[in-house]
Order: sequence, then C-alpha cells, then structure tokens
Amino acid sequence: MQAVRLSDTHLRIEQIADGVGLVHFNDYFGKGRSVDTEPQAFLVNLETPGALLKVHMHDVDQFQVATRGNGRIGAHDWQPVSVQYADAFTAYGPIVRGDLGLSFHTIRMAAGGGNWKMPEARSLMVNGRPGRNVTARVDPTQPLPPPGATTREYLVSPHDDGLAIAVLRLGPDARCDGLEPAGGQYLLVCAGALVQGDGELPTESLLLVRAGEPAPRLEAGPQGALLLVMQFPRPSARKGSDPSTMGNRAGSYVSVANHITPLNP
Amino acid sequence: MTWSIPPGARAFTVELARTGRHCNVAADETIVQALERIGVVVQTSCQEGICGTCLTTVIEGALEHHDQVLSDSERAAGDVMCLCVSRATSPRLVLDL
Repeated sequence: MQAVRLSDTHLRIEQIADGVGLVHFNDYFGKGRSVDTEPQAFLVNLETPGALLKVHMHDVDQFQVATRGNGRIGAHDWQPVSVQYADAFTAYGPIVRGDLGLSFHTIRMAAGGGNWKMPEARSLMVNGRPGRNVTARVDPTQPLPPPGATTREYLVSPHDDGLAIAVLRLGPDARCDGLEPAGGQYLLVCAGALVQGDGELPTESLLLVRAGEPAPRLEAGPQGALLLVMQFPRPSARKGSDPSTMGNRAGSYVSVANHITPLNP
Repeated sequence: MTWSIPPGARAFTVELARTGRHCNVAADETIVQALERIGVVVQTSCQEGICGTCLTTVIEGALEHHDQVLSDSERAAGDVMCLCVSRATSPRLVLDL
C-alpha cells in the first residue's frame, strides 16, 4: 500500500482551451500527461468561472470524486463527496464548474491515453454502446462511530468483476481491515485522519492498494476517519480494463495535446 | 441541461418488454422522466443526446431522433434510440427493458 497526502503532491498548472480555462492539478500518483501502465491519480481544480469539460471518454476505467465546491456532471448535481465510475470508452459529462468552484479527484489503475470528445468518438465505444456509468454520494456530515468502532457500507455492491464503491467509517482510534482489492483499489480520506507510522494521513490523502496486495490494515486518528473505497474491476477481455495490455499506446497525450499549455515545469 | 423538448411534441405510451410495465409519456416530459415516475431508473449522463449512455434497443414503434450520437443508417433502421431526448411518433413504443 502507498499513501500520499495532498500536501505532498506535485502541482501542475495548465491553460486548457475549448472552454476549460486555467486548471491546477495536484498529482498524487503518476506523471501528469505521461501515458504508461502505472496507476495515475490527480486532483483537478477548475479555476476559471464557467469552466466546462465537454462530454468525452477515456481509454481506461476511471473513478472521479468531487471533493470541493459544486457543479454538475452530466445532468447530475456534483457536490462533495460525490463519486462517479465510468468504464473505459464510456462517455460522460459535461462537467460544469459551479459558483463555488469545483475540485475533483481523477483516479485510474493505468494512466489515461487521451480525451476523446463525443459524439465524434462514438466509434470507439464497444459495439457502439457505452459501458457502466454509475454515481453515488457520501454524506460527510454523518457522525462517525464511537471510539474503537467501525462500520462498512456499500454504495455500489460488488459486481461480478469486483467493481465496488464502499464507505468505511472509523471511530476515534478504531482499527479495521479494508477490503480485498479486486483490480486494485484507492481509498480517499474524506474526513478525519488515518494514522501512518508516526504521522497522520489527513483529509484528502489518497491510498493505493494494488491488485494482489492484501487488504490494508487501517487505523484512525483521535478524530476518527471517513474513507471512500473505490474498487476497480479485475482485468478482463473488456476493452480498456487490463493495464498490462496498454503498453503499446502512443507516448504522448492524445486528442487534446495541442489545446494544453503547461504553465509550470 | 441545455436540451429542451421541441414544441409540438406529442404524448405516447411506452411498454417495457422484459418486465411488462408501461407508462404514458406526456408531451412535456422525456422518456427518462416518465420511466423515473414509475420507479424505472435509466442510466444517463448528459441528458442532452450527446454521450450515448441511455442508448436502448427499440422493439416496436416509429421514432423521432433528437440525439447527436446515432449514424444516419442507425436512424433509418429505427431499432435503437437515446431515451433522454428522442421520442416516438407512433402512439405506442416498445423498448427492450
């Protein structure tokens, strides 16, 4: 298991055309726009009022979690803490920044190879049909359990291939085992903090559990912890589900590369 | 949401072949909204006819497409539709749901 605090992330600033504007990215895992088979997770901060990401798709399975501000994804309100999962080659959006701003985590088990806009990209869909596109919301204001106690709730019950979304609530100083990772798993600290060694993993820390690793052993700090568990599907013959088959993709970001202007190294 | 139901839209009935359920789609509502009213939730995203999330197989009925997803040949075949924006021009529409 690897863990990264928001304060330890790398800041990447870009100006993106096509209605998106200025974006501050916080890279937790992976190397920004690099296309490889390693896990990739970053926080997207839409800085420009009225920012809009048009309906699009990616070539990898992906979770996205709204963690600050407000807005919408497609026709659905998107407020903290809302989570969306889309299979590879499944279009979603548009994502629209609300008047409070909008920040969301993008989470993948392999780096995305591009951003393909709809409807032009429909030919990339499997048999012209979309895959799974599910949303769920966690209420971050719900009280945590008493000291030492834990609860587990599935927002999306495990699918046959392991896809699942769960919430773990740990009371102050509580300990528990996480879920066995299927195709890999991320845990986002939505409230409170976890204990790691001599330090803490505060809110907006992100933990990565790779496929084949044991379920993580978790320990809450004195204020407890609210964890969102995002469980990826196991690799299969489904297009875009198996990171080990993605090594032959182009070495540069596809489709929107000429619309992006990096503003820092 | 920027899409709106076109003026002059007419009401029709939707039947769900797998469950036998049916409902009326009023002139001022979409098929997605009508199905939600009877507790049938259709997977959607954009609800503007762009993303294709709600593409559904049509078993019977004449269609009026308002999406930007389907090809000309798919429109002509009339066996698939986007439930968020498209409508029936026949009084009865049967879906593979």
